[in-house]
Amino acid sequence: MKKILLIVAAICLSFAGFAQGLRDVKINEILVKNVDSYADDFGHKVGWIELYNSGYANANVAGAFLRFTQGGDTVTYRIPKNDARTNIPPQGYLIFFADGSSNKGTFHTNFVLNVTDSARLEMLIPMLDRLELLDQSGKVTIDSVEYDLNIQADDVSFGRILNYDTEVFEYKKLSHITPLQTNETREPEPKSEVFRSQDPNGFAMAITAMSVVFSALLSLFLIFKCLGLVMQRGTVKKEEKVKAVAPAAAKINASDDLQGETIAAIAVALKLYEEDLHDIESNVVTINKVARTYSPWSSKIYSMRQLPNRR
Amino acid sequence: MDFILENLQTFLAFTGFANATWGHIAMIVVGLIFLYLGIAKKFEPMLLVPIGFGILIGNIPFSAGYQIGIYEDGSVLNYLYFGVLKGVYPPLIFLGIGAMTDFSALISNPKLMLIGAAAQFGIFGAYMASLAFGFTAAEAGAIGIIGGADGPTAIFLSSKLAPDLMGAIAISAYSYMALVPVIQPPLMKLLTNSKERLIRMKPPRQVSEREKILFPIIGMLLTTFLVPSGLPLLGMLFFGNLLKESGVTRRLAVTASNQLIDIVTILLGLTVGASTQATTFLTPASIKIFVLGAASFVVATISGILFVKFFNLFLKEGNKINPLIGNSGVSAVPDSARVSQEVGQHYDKTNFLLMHAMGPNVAGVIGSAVAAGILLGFLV
Repeated sequence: MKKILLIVAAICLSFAGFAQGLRDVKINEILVKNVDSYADDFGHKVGWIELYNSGYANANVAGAFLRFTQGGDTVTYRIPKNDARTNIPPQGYLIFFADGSSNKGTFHTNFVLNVTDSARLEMLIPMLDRLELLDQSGKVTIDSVEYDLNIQADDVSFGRILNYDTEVFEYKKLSHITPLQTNETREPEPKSEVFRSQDPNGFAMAITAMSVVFSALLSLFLIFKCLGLVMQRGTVKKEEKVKAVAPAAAKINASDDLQGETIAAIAVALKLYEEDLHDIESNVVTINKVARTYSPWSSKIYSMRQLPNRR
Repeated sequence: MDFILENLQTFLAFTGFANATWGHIAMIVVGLIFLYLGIAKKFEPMLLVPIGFGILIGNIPFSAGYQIGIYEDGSVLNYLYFGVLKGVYPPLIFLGIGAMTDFSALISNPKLMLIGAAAQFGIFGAYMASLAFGFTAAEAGAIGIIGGADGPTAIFLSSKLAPDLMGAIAISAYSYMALVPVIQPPLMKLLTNSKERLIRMKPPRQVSEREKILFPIIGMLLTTFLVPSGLPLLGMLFFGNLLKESGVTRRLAVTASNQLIDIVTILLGLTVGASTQATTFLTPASIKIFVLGAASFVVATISGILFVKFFNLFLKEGNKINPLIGNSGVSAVPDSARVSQEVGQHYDKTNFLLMHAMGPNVAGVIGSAVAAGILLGFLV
């Protein structure tokens, strides 16, 4: 049984670990046609993919996969494990350059984003390319995005933006490219000030907060009121059981004869009696001579180690 | 000779005497007053002595750039201050408070919890007043929590909402907590009549071990599900209490309620005191915070007492609550409960209110932590 519980706990822990790590990573921004914008370390301007850790703990993408699908063709890039830079800090960003040259380093994928399919372009067939971020097993999709190569403009990226009406993130064309930065270019107003604009006097805050405080303590009150009643009922039942088993003992009615003060007096008397008890001593007093060159009564050691005691 | 004189001159320029300003002197005087109140008057000495000495440490004038001051990166004091700045110390203090608190009074008479809730009105009264004084919403939230009369909660919340005002808020909260025996009795006498003061409350029933164990578990689940942002404080408070009540982790409970809380109190008190450097502390905002803090304590006390009087209208004779325990809804544990006892004894030597007052007192701790969670949830 213990083993089963341990296994269950281990599974739960692994899920918890998963939940706090890679699952928070999002494909945040993609630039498919890079003509004159953000360049890689070699000065080459190629398409890039920005990942964003939306969580509040580090997320390591080492071992995860970036999968690019165009039509029926799929290319998968496994992010190498031996690079510490794959660890994305909380709310941090990471860029992968899609230049088809993975031998250039960790952040260069083995596929390119602007694969020109001449047949497709000629026939003006709208076909969605798909980019996915997969976990280390390569089976679970963490995030994915689809785009149509035909409508991608030069140096115009598209990214994940919050739709304030629906409160859902959507992929949209961005007004500016924002590599390694938030896609939200306007400064958000602090939450506290938004709250204040709607509640300038603080009445709404006072009423809401006091209701929550009251409901929290009221719920506790109700739960413990009921629990107390159940417990008291249980105690009464136990007492009745004891009475049934030992009728002689039941003659002493606790509620009538044994008041709190009586119980306290008995307890104190018992304590005093027990404190008075001690082992039988031999009655032989032994005094060993202590040979010291100084008198312990005037020793400074004792007075120096004493703490002042203010009363 | 010139070289020696030049060296002496350089040395003098480094001394505190050369760098002292009137602000430093004023703050040193404040620190000395704190020490006097703590040592001679014995007002909350465990808090006022470390804070008072911390104020002295924080206001020794020095030349900046030598990693000495609390606000200088890399200084020892700065490392210790990290625990305040990042809100590490307050939850640890709550762990200790949980491990030393007996919730029996509350469990045996759960209706006392509502007094703890009513007294939190001081927080939101101060929030509204702070907005009227021109503070931002986040600053007003941090100032309002002074009314909760809970130092660690005030530090925790101000470190998140208004780090710049943390020194003033912490000093204000702890000062008024120390002054609970001075602030509360006149209000208690003013708001109650002689008949009410003599109300005798039913002795609390005996609470079973099982109830005591269930309280922190249910309390934590319920309050944090309702206000998840209060998790650091409420989680630690109830965890500490479970260590105590479970009966199987005695060593942990003893450590949490003795050595751990003592260490953290020393570090918290000293660094909060040291954070009151004259340059950052002596501002008009600090004076406003002190005024608002006093007002919030008054409002919290009044609302607790008036709530009991209101509540009594619905209670049968014999079940009525003595309004003198209404002040204990502010969570200055156990000072406000002690005040209830002392004022109650003043009118009836045989009326013992301490155990009853501990109920709203500990409910106040839960209430103020919940209120802090709400403010965090709304304003961060």
